[in-house]
Amino acid sequence: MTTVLTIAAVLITAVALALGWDRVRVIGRVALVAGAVLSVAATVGVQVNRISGAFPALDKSGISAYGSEIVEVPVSGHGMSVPMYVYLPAAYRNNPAERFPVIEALHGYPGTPKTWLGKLRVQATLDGEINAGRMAPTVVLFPTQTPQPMLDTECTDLRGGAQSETFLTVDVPAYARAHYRIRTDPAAWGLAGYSAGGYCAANLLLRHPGRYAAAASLAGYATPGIDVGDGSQLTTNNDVWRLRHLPQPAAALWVGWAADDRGSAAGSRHLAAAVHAPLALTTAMVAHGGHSSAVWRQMEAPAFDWLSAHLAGPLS
Amino acid sequence: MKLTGIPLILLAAVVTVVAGAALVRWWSRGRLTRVVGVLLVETLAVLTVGLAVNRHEEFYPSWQALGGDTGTATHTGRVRAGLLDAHLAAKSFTWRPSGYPAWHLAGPPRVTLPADYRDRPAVAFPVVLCLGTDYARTGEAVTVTMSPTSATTPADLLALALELRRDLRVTGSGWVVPAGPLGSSVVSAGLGTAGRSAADVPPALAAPMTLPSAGVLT
Repeated sequence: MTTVLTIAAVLITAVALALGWDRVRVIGRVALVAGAVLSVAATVGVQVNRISGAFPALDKSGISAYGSEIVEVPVSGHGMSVPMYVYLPAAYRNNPAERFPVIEALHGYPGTPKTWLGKLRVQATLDGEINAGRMAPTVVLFPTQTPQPMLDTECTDLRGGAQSETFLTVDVPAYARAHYRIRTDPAAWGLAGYSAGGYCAANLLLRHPGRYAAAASLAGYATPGIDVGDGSQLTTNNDVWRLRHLPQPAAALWVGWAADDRGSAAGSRHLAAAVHAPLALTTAMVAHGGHSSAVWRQMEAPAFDWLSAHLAGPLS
Repeated sequence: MKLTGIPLILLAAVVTVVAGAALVRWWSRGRLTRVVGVLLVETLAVLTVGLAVNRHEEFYPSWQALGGDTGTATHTGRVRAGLLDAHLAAKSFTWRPSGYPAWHLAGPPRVTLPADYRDRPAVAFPVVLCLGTDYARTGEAVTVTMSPTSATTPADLLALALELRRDLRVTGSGWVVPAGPLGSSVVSAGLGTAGRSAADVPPALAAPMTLPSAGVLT
């Protein structure tokens, strides 16, 4: 709808510019040009937003053909109050005695959890994998990682700023424990993420092995690429530094990237090369596709299958 | 011409400027010329900026990538049947594989299968390795109970694990391994984690979808 509106605006301003030019004075001409430029900018903005899923419009939540459900809930804590989306598998309603494993799925920057639901079609992927028996019924949480859309937290606790790491590792799990029938033991908790969220997933696993058993990084990075405020982007929030200087946890890590996505490929390779026992590593590589949703969509099913095989299953 | 190359961006910029100049030059030739010209220049300007941004951010490094082609197939595997699958009569049996005498155990291991092992030929089952004599059935897992001796080494336990993967339809990860040095080789091989409880095993699953591995990393 906004696409049609903005394209209509471009056409109208172009016609107005062409036809009105000879009838107005300088101020009028400036206004005509400004109108044309603004309408083009708006069109580009809407399309970029559509491609990146940065600020998608809210769509209806609902129950899928497989019986799974996406619900939106508000989660607050440590200065953050943001929406979270929750995937409840069909088995959640059908097997009321079972408690389910949990995956926290983290979005990229700029972005919101809605990118998972829209562009990355995660509900259909999860439905398909669970229905095929390649993945156990799992509750998947899609939290928002930042209090402001244009603030890049990289899921860290920014010194004097947003406490995203604490929010994601304490407040989100607490909310899930209080509201959903889930397993609360770390063996049943995993992390996933694409792009910046891939860095988040690997970094939070390495920093909190007592809370999570496995993580999957889809086209992620080895460093946050921001200034955390305490220099930790060079040390304890730098995954290669962590792997080289600190004991590695008994956990499992899936790292996937596209060979032609230079930034992610280099970071992921550094990260993967530094892993040793007891941390277990699985790598996955697609030939090309860049830093794009086509690559992440293709990685989704393999990554979620792998996660499910490394997390404790549903428990009655 | 490369999608992220300077030549393409320069070409787009030059064409934009030429189109802009042409629009000014022929501005008085009629209303339709103006409308078409304005739209053309706008489109070319957006295209040029888009190419430059894509080069800088490396979203789509190639024309293939722009088309959503990853040049890679996702593989859906099949669970490999165990050598003993066709011969299993009992839910619990004494396991005497060919390699067993070399493992320095006090006796042959005892294997207990999940109740639905034979009914679900498409799934692989997780494994619980137990030391001692307790071979209670543990839900969805294949339980192997063995009595090591002082001569049993971590390498012996790994050899047992690999033999188990040939003989039965078991997973390649997520095993519950006994805590302590004896399980260290099995953990190092990526088969499982030491010191977890039997409730922590992953579910029995069909073969996962996989992508090619990146191979050896340096």
